[in-house]
Amino acid sequence: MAATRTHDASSRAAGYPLLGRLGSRAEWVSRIIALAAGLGMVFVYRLYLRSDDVAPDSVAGLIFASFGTGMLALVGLGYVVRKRIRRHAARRLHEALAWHIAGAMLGVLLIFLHAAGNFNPRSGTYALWGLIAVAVSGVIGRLIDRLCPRLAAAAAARAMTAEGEERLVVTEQKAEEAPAHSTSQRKAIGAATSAAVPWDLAYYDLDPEVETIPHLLTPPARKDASTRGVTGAWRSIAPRTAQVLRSHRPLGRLVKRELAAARSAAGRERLYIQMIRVWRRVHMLTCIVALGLLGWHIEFAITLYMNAH
Amino acid sequence: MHRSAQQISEELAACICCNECLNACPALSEPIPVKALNWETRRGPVSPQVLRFAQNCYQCGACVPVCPVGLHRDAMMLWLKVRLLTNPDRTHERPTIGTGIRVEW
Repeated sequence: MAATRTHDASSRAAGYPLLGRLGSRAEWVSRIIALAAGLGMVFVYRLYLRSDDVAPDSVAGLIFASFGTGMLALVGLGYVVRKRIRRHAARRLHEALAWHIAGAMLGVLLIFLHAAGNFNPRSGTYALWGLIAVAVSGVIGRLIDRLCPRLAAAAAARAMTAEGEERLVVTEQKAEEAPAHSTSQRKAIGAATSAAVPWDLAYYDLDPEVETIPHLLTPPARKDASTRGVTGAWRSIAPRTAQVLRSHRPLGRLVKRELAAARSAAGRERLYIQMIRVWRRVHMLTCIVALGLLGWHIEFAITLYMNAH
Repeated sequence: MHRSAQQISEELAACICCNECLNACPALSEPIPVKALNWETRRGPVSPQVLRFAQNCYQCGACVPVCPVGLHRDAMMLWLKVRLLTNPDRTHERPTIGTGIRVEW
């Protein structure tokens, strides 16, 4: 595969901002054309309002309806078909999406003009509300598409370590290692302590020799470990025990906090990704409902027309 | 959804560069060689084209079912985004390849 890449230093942008870019070239072209066409339609509508025949079933009203329905069918089906066809060049789907959005807005505007201010509770009004719901769901979907990937990436960054490992796995490993270490230490210390300081008063000699009493009351200043007395042994071990217990308590809490943070980050990441994908289904469901309502209205209009003639 | 560095490296190494994922992508607004995307996903500075693509990608997952090797381009893109988020300054660096020169793949 041959490709040419030319990097323009001026077009560089740093990092990953929350709202990302305002749009690609294709998006801007479609937006500008849609805006111009929309303004043109509003101008035509103002002329139409000055005419004598202002009604959804007038000639102009039917033209608006036909163009609107045609536009919606074109951009709606066009994008769906384009998406299903695998044989297309890169970026064509992006262009199709840009026109899908712009064309859908124009289509809804044309149907709105076709209504010409008649919003009686009839099939046509329901169809119009259905189309507006589709457009609104599409706009919300685009907002989700802009915000959620960034939020998902931020959550993923929290769910991973700086080295790119799973924070959950690393923390769990840490948690597994930490209690084993402290338990062994505590056992060793406990054994030493129990050997050095009897906890049961039964072990104390209640009838000591006179010469040993001063020794029990006042511990020796510094002695060898073998000659160290009971109190001396306890005094040397007590600070170490306290230190280990002190160091063990915050470690456990830290590990728990780390695990909770990693789980929460992974959950948030899944939520944001699911929001993107579920909303797409919501949009499609709204489209199906709107199509049903549109079909109902077209059938209603054809029946009216047939009865009139 | 996200994958570890090891898994991403394995997936990138397994990519056969058939371009199917990019062809199926509705967020890709300009052509990018998939080899360059793979390379810049893993390490080094990120070129403006790849940066724009990473910013535009909205994780729709359209790239996953079309991959003939069963790779997860969406996870790779998420990895690239995490890179951009955690180390945004790398994007200021001059790309190692393709700085105003023709690169034949």
